[in-house]
Amino acid sequence: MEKIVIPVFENRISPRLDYAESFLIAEIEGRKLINKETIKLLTKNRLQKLNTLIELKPDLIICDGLTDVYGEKLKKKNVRVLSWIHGNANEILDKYIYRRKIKNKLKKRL
Amino acid sequence: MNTEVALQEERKIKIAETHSTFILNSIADGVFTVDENLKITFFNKAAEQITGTAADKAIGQYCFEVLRSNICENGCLIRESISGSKTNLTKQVTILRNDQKLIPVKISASSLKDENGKIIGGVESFRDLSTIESLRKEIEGKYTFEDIISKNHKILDIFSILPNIAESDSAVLIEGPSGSGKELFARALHNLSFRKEKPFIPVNCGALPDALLESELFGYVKGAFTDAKKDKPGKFKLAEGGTIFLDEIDSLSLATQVKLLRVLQEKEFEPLGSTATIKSNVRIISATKNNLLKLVNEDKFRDDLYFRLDVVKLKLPTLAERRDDIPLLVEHFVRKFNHKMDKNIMRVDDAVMEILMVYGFPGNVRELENIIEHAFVMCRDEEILVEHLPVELQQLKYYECKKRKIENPLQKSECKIILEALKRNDWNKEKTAEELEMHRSTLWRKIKKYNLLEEINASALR
Repeated sequence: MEKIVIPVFENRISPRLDYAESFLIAEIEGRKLINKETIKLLTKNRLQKLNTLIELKPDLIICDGLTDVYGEKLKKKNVRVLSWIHGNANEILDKYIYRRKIKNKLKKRL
Repeated sequence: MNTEVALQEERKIKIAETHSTFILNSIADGVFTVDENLKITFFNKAAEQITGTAADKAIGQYCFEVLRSNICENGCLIRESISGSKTNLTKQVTILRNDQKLIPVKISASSLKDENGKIIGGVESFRDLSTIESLRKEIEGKYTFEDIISKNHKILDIFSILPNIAESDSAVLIEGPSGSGKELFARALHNLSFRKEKPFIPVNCGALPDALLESELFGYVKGAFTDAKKDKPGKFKLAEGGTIFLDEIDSLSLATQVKLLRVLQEKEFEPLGSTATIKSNVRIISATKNNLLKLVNEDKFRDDLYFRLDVVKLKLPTLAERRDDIPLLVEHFVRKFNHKMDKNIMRVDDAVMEILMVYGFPGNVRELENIIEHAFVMCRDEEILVEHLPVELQQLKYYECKKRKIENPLQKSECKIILEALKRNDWNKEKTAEELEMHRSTLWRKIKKYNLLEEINASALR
């Protein structure tokens, strides 16, 4: 199962991960989206927010603006990050799942 | 006739548009306009420079996806202007560029209206405050964790625990060598805590003789001693509600240690010459470059005070232990001194970086800053070269490995690192292997490989 976290602002990916308040959490099993929910992290303390994000144990974070501190810390905690991406959060998630399906198909063929 | 008038009008409008674009592109402030949906419709040259985004890329995008300011989600000025709730708004914010740089800017926003007074969008101008902000921070010392330049894992580990430490009100002891940034961490802790609106008072305990230090810390009342003409509040009083930072805590005399212990235990103190007790609500962050526990064992520091101060300990690494941060720090200091000295140094020569990467930095980050400042004074061009470094660094034989005829650049760097580590550890192979985190036998093999034996043998004779 893969856990994906996307910071969301008005249906779009938040401009900055460190100032985002809403997070879309999606869980994917194989080729299927098995769970999707939105949570709020309202702390103004950005380091606290980073710690909470890490505690969510995501496999992947898809976000737009990413600061040095966030980027390095997430890398150190082995969280994959696809940053500087903007667009509709759900559409980006769908695109990711679609690409994942194609990847899996290719893997199976090989 | 009517068509001709219309054409003339159209021409006039076009000329006016060209003029206004020309004017907007020649000013130093960034300016952009948005439609009602916050999509950018105009982006001037200065906006391109400050944000690092070209106008053709920005136009058509949502403004929050180009500026990425800290108020885009909460408290966006242009949104408030368009909604008509507020007009002519100004605020200081930070924007995040594509290259991960945070730029402080002052923004002003207002709505755009058509000839009928209907709101059709908004306009925002913003001024780069990098220079002013860096100077202000230096003067006011309002540093946050984002001012600590590091990608090193030891520092990042400290970042993880900073919020918890900041939220608690426990005493903190910061251990770290000179120039490793103890005060910067203390200020970052204070600015993360609920006490951030209250004062942060730094005191260097080693800078004052004991008798003076006591009056400096706790204050005195009129008549306490011959020259005490009026009451003077001490640092604890000045720090009320905030944080007091006691640097070089190990230099406190045993008598002052007792007084400090009382503040920690009872949260109260008496100014010199006074019988009245003053209640104190101050968080204590202390710092030392020495091993305080060792001083306790030698009976030079009270154990009860030590255990009160050392509720939470932060151990800062030396710059040599976070060598991976050197390029980042060099870049930061170059930017800082470019602002401060109004210079335009664009590059640091590879040979300079090679020297800095192998140098021992006994003075840590402060020494690196001084080296870059020295280079800035000497450099009249756009690039810092070896000749701009302090003489003792120029003399650092970074060519030594060239003499050993090692051509592979990776091996050359490895040879330099080993050689410098050997020098730093007085040619002690065990200590060197420990510092370089390699086995002694591996170090020995590399010493032979790079022909460093001769150097080691010669050192024994010096």
